[in-house]
Amino acid sequence: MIFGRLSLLWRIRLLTAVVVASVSLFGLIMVVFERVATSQKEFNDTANSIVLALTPMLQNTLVVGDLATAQQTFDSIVQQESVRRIALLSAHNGRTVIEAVDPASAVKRSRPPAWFTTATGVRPLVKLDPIVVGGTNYGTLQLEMSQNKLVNGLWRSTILFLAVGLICLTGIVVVMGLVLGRGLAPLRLVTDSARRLAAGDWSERIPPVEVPEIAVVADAFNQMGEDIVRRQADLVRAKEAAEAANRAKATFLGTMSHEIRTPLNGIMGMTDLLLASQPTEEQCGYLELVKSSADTLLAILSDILDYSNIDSGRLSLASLPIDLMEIANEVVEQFAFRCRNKNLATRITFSPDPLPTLLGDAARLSQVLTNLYGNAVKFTQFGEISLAIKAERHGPTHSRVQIDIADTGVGIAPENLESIFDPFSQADGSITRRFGGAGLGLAISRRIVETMGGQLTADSALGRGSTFHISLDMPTVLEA
Amino acid sequence: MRALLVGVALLFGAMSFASAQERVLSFGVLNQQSPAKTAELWNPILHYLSDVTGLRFQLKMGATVQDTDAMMGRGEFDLLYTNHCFQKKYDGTYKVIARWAGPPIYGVIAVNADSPIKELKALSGKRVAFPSTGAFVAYAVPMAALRAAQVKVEPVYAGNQEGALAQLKARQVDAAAVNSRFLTRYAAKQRLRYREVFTSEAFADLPVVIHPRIPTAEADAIRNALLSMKHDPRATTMLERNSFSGFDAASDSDYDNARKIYAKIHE
Repeated sequence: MIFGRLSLLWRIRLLTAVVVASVSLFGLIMVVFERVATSQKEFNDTANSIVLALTPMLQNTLVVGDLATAQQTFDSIVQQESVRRIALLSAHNGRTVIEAVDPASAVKRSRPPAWFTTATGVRPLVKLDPIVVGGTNYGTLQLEMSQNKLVNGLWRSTILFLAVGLICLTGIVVVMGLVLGRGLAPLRLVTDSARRLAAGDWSERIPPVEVPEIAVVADAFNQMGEDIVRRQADLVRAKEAAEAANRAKATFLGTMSHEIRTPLNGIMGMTDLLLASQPTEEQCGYLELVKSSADTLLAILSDILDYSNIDSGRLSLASLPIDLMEIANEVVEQFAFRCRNKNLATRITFSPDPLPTLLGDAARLSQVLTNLYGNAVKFTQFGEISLAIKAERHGPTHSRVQIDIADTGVGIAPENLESIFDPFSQADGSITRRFGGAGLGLAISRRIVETMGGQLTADSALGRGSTFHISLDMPTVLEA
Repeated sequence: MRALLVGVALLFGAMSFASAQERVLSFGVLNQQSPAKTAELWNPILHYLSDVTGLRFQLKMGATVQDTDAMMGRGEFDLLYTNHCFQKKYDGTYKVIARWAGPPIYGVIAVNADSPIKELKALSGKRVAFPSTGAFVAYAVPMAALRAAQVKVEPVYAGNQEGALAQLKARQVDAAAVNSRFLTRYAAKQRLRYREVFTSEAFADLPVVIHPRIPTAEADAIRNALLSMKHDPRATTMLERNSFSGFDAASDSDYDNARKIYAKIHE
């Protein structure tokens, strides 16, 4: 709709013009038809008056047979604009005895267009009046009235009304446009201020506006600006408080981890000494259990400490030449014993082979791969675990590295697929009980990969295994 | 042969009848009032005559008295209602067959009732309205009296008697010369209060005269129709509407006094 795209100003102008024009047109039609009715009666009255005035004269002239005087009278009467023709018809055969025709009638065409004449419904009028004196018919007076004068008058009135109406309409639209234009001009101030506010100029305020309606909007806008500033200050304060709390938490975790690790190292050291002191078989079993628990606790403490460091933004990455093939092979080798124990097949592929030398943090990449590969081994009871690394040139200085670690393990339900990356979260509570772990490994791995500028995602089907994808864009060491 | 002669005679008779049927007799009327009013009065009379005689009549008159007199002089009328035919230059052609019924008429010079003019001599130098120089009772008769009394007036010709009295009523003139019958009728209708400063001898009302070219049988039929009108039920409505009594018998000699007046006036 074109109307829907028009500005408010033009909508008001257009609607006003349409309403005023409609009312004016309706009024014009009413006036014209009222005038038609009145004029038609006057037209008829004029014809009757002419006949009434003419009849006595005709009676006198026709009784004495003075047709010349009758002709002169006819010639005089036909000069009237409203009379087209006047004639005397024979009483015997109805033929024209004398007549006078308006000489201008042939060229005196009605100025209005034909449709207007038709619309008014005004027709030429013919009056017939027998001239009877003392019972003797001397003929019939035939008077033909032309509607030209009447219709011309109506047409002139209509044109005048339309012209005046058009001028008034234009005036109304122009004046309304000026008034509304000036009245709505402050809206531009509101718009500009809103844009500046949106661009971050929180001190932006609309200056005082005279138009009451827009002054209300301006006040509301300024109030909104004040609210935004106040709420933003509140948010900054809340953010700072949250950050302080987070720092306190990280410090607490770090301190606690350190404080716990110290006695834990004592427990582990003493356990190793006891194991080396030839305990009984039963004592040996107990000590192995203590050692295993201590190892697990240490790993959990390490993860918590690690996550705390990453979460508080204290993760720094090295950028050194790394051999990704070597890192991958070491990870696979690390879990080779366990895979053999579980009869799991392993497969490792590189493309291209060898991979290009890349710049990165070998320790952190190894940590991520160890975590993902370790999970695969942990959650897979049979089948295969594969590690595939593919590197493609991406621009003159970088390579796009895609690392896929796939297993045929328990798999993850689709609704849990994303939450496994949340800290302290596993696919479900039973996993923690069944497989152990603090649920921080994947969260740490994703944060590391994201810090490297990459993505860590997973796809899985429950009971069919999972595949974890690492996408990285890494600088390539250009060979000399 | 005999049958043929009878047939031819019948054919000619029929043609003659048809010719008479198609012939229209022109009936002239003196301009005593407007042509329209004249026609209002006389056309019904002519329709009546047509009904009774089987002849056809057409009212004919000039626009003025002079025109009508001129038409009379040219013999354009078969019948005529006038007394101008008794003027010397026209006298002898048309013959009287009847006259307007009723008492005789008088020529009158009337003034407004409150006028200081009491007698004919007081009209000297005054404005006196006449219908026209063609009027008999309303012009020739009073003018003859004025001349006899050696009174010279300023004549004002009003066209007809109605006009003359209208001017008197409007006090545009000091006196008006009209016939007594018209004066009575006008005064009653227009509430004119008047006084007569001159009244003439009695004159027979205007006659209907006929041209000698009209066959005697037709002339007799017309005379009989005119005279029987006052007793004919078919004419009753017409007579009542126009307030006249029909026609009375009259002869040429009834208008000798008119001839004398004309002779005086044209001296």
